[in-house]
Amino acid sequence: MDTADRIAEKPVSEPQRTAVLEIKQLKKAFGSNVVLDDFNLAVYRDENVVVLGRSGSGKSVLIKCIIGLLKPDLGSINVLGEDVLALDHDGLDHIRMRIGFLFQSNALYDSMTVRENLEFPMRRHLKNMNTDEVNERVNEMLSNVGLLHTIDMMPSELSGGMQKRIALARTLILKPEIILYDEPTTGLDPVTGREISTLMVEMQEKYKTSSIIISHDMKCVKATADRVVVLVDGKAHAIGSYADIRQSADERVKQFFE
Amino acid sequence: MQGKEVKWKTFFSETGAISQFTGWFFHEFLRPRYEFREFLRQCFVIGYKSLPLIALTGFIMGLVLTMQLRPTLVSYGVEARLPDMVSLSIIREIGPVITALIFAGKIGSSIGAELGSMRVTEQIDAMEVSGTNPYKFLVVTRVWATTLMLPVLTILSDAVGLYGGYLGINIRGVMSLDLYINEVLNTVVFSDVIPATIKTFFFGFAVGIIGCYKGYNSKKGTEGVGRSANSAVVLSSLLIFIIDLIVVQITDLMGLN
Repeated sequence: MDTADRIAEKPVSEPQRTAVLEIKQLKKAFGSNVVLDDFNLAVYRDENVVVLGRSGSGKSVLIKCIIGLLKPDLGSINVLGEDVLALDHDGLDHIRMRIGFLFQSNALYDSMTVRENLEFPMRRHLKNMNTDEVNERVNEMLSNVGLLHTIDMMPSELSGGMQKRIALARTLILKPEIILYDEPTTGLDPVTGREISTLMVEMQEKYKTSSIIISHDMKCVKATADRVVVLVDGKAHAIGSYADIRQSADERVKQFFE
Repeated sequence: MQGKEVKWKTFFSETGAISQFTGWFFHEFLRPRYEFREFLRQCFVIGYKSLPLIALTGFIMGLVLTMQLRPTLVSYGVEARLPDMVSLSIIREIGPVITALIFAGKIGSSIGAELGSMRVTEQIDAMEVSGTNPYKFLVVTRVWATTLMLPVLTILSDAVGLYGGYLGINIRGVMSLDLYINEVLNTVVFSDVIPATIKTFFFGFAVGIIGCYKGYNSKKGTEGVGRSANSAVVLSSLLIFIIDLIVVQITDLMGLN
C-alpha cells in the first residue's frame, strides 16, 4: 500500500458532519481525452476543500460540472440535497443562488460599475428587497473586502487584486452556502495573493460557507485548506489535511511541494 | 479536393449553427422573464447613439446622388425630374441598403466584439451561474433592439438624404423647398415606402442575430474577439444584400415595382 492510498484511507471527517456536496463516480471526457474518471468527493459544512492538480488536470472542469456549466458523462452530483444533474433550468437557477462561483478571470461585467456588478444578482433574485436594503448589502460586502470607496468605479479602473476582491464581494452578495473558487490567486503578486487567501478564510468564518478551492498556489492551499484533494489522472489520488499531504512520500503528490 | 470538402462542411455546419441560434431566439423571446430594462438600454445604445453617423451618411448620400445624377438628366433635357429620381432611389433602395450597411459596420461589429469579449472573459458564464439566462439577457434584447431601431434610423436617414438632395439641386440650380417637397410627395407612393420599410426590419434582425451569434460563440481569446467582430460585419453585410434581392423579387412578383 503506497502513501497515497494510506492518506486516502484516513478518516477525514467525523461521521456526524453533514455533507453539503457529494460527488460520486464522476466522469467527464472531451472526445478521447478523459479529464475526470471515477472521481469521488464529499464536502462537509463549514469546510474548505482544496483541489490540487496540474494545469489541464480537470480541476476547473470539476467545479464547472458542479455548477452546471458542463454536463458530466457519468456519475452524480448532489448539492445541498439536490441532484444537480436531474434539475431543470429553473431548478438549476434556484440551486445556483445558493452557490457562489469566483472565476479565475474575475468575470466582472465591464459595462457596469462596481455597484451595478454587485446589485445585478440581487435585482434578479431578491426582488422583495427595497433599495435601502440592497444598498446596505452592497456596502456590507464592499466593506468586507475593504473597497467601499470603489463603489462607483468601473472594473477597468481597478487593479487585478482589487478586481479579485470585488469579484469575491459579488460572489458573497447572495450569501451562498457553498463557494467554488477557480484559482483565486493565479496572476496575483505574492502579497496580494496572501491577502486574498486571508480574505477567503475570513469570509468563510464570517458567513459559515463551505468551499471548494481550485489551486496550485501552495501558499493559498496552506492558508485555506481544511482538506486537500490531489487530482491525478482524473481521480482523487490522495485526500488528507495539508500536513498529511505535505508529508506524503508519493512522488505524484510530492511534486507539488518541490 | 479535400480542402473544398472541408470548406463545404464548415459552410453547412455554420449555417446549421446559425439556424439553431435563430431558432433559439424564437423559442426564448416569448417566454418570461422579459428583460425590458435591458431592451430599452439597448435601444438607446443601438438607436440613439447611431443617430449622428446615420444622419451624416444619409445627408452625404442624398447630396452626392443628386450631383451624380444631374449631368445625365441635363443631357436628356429632363432636369426637372431630378427630385423624382432622387426620392425614389433613396426611399426604395439606397436609403435602406446604405443605412443597413453602415448599421452593420457600427452595431454588428460592436455587438460581436462586446459579446465575444464577454465570452472569453467568462462574463457570460458568470451571468449563467448567477441564475440569469444570458441568451435572454444579452441576445434577445439586442436582436429586438436592432430589429426595431434600424427601420427608425432608415426613415431618419431617408429624410436627411432627401434634404441633402434638395441642397444638391440648389448647388447648380434653383428650386424652392416647397416645390421640392411637393415633387417628392407626388412621386413617392405607399407601395414605394412600405416594402422598403418592411425589409429594414429583416436587415436589422440579420445584423442583430449575426452579431450576437458571432460574439456569443467566440473562441480563442482576444484574437477570437477580433475575428467575431470582423466576421459579424462581413456576414451581416452579405445577408443584407441577399435579403434585398429576395425582397425585390417578391415585390416584383406582387407588381409593386
